[in-house]
Amino acid sequence: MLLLQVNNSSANVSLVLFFGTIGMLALTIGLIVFIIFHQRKVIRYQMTLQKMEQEQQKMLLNASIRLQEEERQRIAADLHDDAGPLLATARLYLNENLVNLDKTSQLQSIYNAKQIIDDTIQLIRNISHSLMPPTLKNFGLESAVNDQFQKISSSGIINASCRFHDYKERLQTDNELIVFRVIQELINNILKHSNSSFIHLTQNTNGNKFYIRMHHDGKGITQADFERMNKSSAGLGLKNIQSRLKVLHGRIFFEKDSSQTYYKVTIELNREDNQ
Amino acid sequence: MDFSVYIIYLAHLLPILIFAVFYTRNKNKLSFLIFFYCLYSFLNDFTRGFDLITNLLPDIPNKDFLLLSTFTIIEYILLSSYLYILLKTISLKRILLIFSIIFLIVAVGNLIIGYRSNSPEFDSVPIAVSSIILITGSITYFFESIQNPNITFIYSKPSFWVVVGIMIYFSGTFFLFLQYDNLSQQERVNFWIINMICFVLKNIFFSISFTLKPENQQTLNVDEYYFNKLE
Repeated sequence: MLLLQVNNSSANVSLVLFFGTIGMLALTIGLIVFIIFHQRKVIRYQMTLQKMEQEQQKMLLNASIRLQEEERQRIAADLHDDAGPLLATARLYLNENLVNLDKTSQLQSIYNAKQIIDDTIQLIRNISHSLMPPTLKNFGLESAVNDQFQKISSSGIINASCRFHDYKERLQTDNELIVFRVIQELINNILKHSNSSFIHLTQNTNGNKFYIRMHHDGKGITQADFERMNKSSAGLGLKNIQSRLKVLHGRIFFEKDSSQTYYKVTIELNREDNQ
Repeated sequence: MDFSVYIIYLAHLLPILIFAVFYTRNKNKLSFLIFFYCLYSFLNDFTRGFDLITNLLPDIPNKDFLLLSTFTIIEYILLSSYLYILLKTISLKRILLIFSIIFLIVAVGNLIIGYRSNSPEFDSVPIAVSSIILITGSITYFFESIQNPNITFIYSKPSFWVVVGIMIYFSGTFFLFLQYDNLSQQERVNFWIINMICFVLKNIFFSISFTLKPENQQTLNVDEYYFNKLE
């Protein structure tokens, strides 16, 4: 209306009307086009993220399957290469010809076969324990980790210690096994790659959160390394850790201590989800 | 009758017919609101075009002004109700409500003053106010939509086409209606084509919206589309 009062002549009114309408329509169409393209861009970005996530899931699944296969092959090899020959030898001692031998030879053969069968029992027990540690099943995560650390420490190669500050309420048995496997994998990595002189594990809780922290003074990885290796085809063990923690809705952080002397790994779980 | 009048009537009938054809897709309050708006708009133009009101109510003075002003108010109520339902943020709904009250005060005041003074003028001020509110409401709806993390193409929603129709029509006719009283008779005839084009576009967009399935019945084909593009 103001425009009208100022420019009262007919020509001006027509001009204002013409250019005003063109301008308004151009703005409106521009806005609509912008919104369409912006939304397409956002959707494309979201889909790319989703695809990346799916690819990572696929890699984790592949890693998990490969590890499972490796484990099966190891068990098969243990049974075939160790238990098989032992039992075959025992069978040789206990063949039909044994009845024709003299008493001393018979006793000797039975004694040898007994020895071999004892060895085989021990071997099968070891295989079984490596699959499911009895300490973990019967006494829980704290005892199993303590046991593991004692074994490592007693080897004399590395100083290993652990301390559980607040573990009165155990996690669910299945979840304890998963956490134990993650700890085993981390220890395995430290022993294999870090060249450190000590490993120290602590367990803590804070509200609803359950934490396990491991320190070592060797060569370690940071979160950026972990994420990079997770995306690449390397780092099968790390992928396995990631997929195991995913089951527990847990998280893992790799970092260098503020003093730049130690590497720290933190496993974070929700207590409510896992107890 | 003039050729443009045929186009106007055709444009009036298009969304009404499309609504009837795709009735099963449009059994929701949003589609009904737009359908009622199209129907009312058609009846209003029909009444004015054939001067039915003079035959029905011969004693009422200033009938054309009365019809136009009432149309502006009802048009605003229907379209702003549509935007009100679409908006999700409570504070934005409240703002729209406040502006609607302001519009109603302006429009009813203009209607009473214009009717009493027996003025033959066009109701420019209420139309300008309603245009500004509806355009702003439409822009707000768009920005609210793009902030929504739902993965659906915005143009697959019926509401998108309705809002595009509202925006195109009201932004295109904004200056025309604002300056209508200052135009000569010849200029009015010349510039009326702007209204016609915008009106036809609006009704085409409304018709497109009636052909689309409502949002809650749509399948997400966007995943497939982009996954194919990304590979």
